[in-house]
Amino acid sequence: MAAAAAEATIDGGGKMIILISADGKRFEVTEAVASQSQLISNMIEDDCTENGVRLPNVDGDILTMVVDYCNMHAGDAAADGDTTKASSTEELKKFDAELVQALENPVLFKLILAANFLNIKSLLDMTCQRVADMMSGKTPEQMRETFSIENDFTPEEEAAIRQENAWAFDD
Amino acid sequence: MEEASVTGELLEQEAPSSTSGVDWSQLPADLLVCIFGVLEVPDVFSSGVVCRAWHANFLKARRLGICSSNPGPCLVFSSGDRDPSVATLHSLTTGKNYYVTMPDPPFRTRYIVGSSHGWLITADERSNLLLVNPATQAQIPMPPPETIANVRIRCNGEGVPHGYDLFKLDMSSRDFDTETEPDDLSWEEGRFYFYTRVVLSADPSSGNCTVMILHLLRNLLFFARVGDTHWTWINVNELCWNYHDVLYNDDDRLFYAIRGNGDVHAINTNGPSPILRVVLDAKSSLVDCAKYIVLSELGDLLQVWRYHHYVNNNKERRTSELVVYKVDLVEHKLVELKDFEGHALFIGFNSSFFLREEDFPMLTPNSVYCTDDTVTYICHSRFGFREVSAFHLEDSSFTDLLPIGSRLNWPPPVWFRPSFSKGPL
Repeated sequence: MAAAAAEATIDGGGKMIILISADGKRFEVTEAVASQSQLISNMIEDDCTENGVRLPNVDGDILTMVVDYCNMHAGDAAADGDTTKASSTEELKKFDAELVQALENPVLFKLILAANFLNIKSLLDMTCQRVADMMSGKTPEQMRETFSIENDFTPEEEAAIRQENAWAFDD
Repeated sequence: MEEASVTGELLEQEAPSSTSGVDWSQLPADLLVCIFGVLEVPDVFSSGVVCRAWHANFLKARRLGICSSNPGPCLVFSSGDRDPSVATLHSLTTGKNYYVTMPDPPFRTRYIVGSSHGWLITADERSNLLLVNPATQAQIPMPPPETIANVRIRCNGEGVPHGYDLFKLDMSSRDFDTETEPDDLSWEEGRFYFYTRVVLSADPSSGNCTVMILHLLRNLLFFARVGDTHWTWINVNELCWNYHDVLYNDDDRLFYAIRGNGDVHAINTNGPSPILRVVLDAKSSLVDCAKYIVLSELGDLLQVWRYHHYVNNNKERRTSELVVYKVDLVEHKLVELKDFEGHALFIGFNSSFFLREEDFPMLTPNSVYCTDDTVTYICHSRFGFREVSAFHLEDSSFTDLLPIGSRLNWPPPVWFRPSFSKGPL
């Protein structure tokens, strides 16, 4: 493949891919790391990553987190070779727990959208779980406060919905 | 959220969305539904009231039956300070109460005789069995009591129906015992005799659910599929009596029933007529305690032997001890178990279930969470004390889980895991 010359390689021989964020930041990662994104994995298969992959709806700071996450988790996906990159289960757990714990608005929101767009299932599950944890045991008012959502119901509409739900909440 | 953007350049970049770039009400539908998939039913309901966009997605989630597939445990009961139609769900996960207005007949007039698959199993004041799902508000009636082999409607002198006749069934002939006078039960009393335990094979709204009932006097088993017109007696042989508890195993599609002496029978109701296999012949003499049969996460059959005693001037009937055995199917014997490996077990009228402390850190592992399910005691002392406690295997101690708000003793409190789900639970 002639185009291969334009792509960097690392010691392990894995091909490198350039990811470009909305604000033009460039990230160089191995195919194994990038393939955790189903979107990019499909692009690799279709041979359309040679000039870098532009991600117009992912900001640089969010893409930094995504790339960190994928670097840590590359061991899961690429079982063969490149053992130096594979992280231990303990390390991964710690990394994930710290990442999730640190997630707050608005980064969490953007990271969910990025995980969804890039189609990284484990990251999407983890971020969705974090949102669920933030909702758990809360009244609608507390949820609005947590997520800064404006109540756009009329009082009559809200009363009707609560009535129809048949579920009332302990305040 | 209110952070001012620093430069004009940033503002320009983020122009299409709101100033902060984040509007949770605009979370894409598929993502919100994804989040609903790990939320408990009460939280799904709460999120449906947040804003219009979330409400639309809530309706979708409810229609599709999307919520956590591993819901936390709730205690269901009636609260004195609420309307009789309202069931209170006390979540052990959040420690909060949720109040659910149930379809008629009023919740407080019902007897709760079981729970599984997100459904409460109740009996109304005419002793009809009604399955009800508090999350979907769906309700399914089962065949009336008079379609049980030994139950007839009794008429008074003027020929007006006024209750039930309950005939004894003779196990050697496997037929009515017409020699003995039947028990005369009022419409309302019947439910204490007809439904000692009720077990579902699946979500009753799934279209293929078999309901097994344990029937007093001689502790017989009857079953009916949702949609059937009558109950079928399991009378394969002369040992088909003195059952204490039943479970359904989804893996081999068999019911497993435990007898008062510890015997375990596997019952296949999938064919034209029921087939019975003796799984364990306990060969033990009768021990006077309530016996439960439970399936562990690894698929092992367990037996729980629950002993009671009266305390507080005979006013309170409480559990005095619980002993758990594993059924050794190779050696055909019972082996005492002192450790649930981080699990907590829930027993009572509910179909027994294990939960992991890892998933629900508020639970005490190696404990049995119990509610009162002694029918004879409940029947005679309807508004009396109802035990709700946790028994700890390691030191044989009890923790009272009482009182919770204005909890009434009727209907008897039952463990319950709310769900929209049509999947196995």
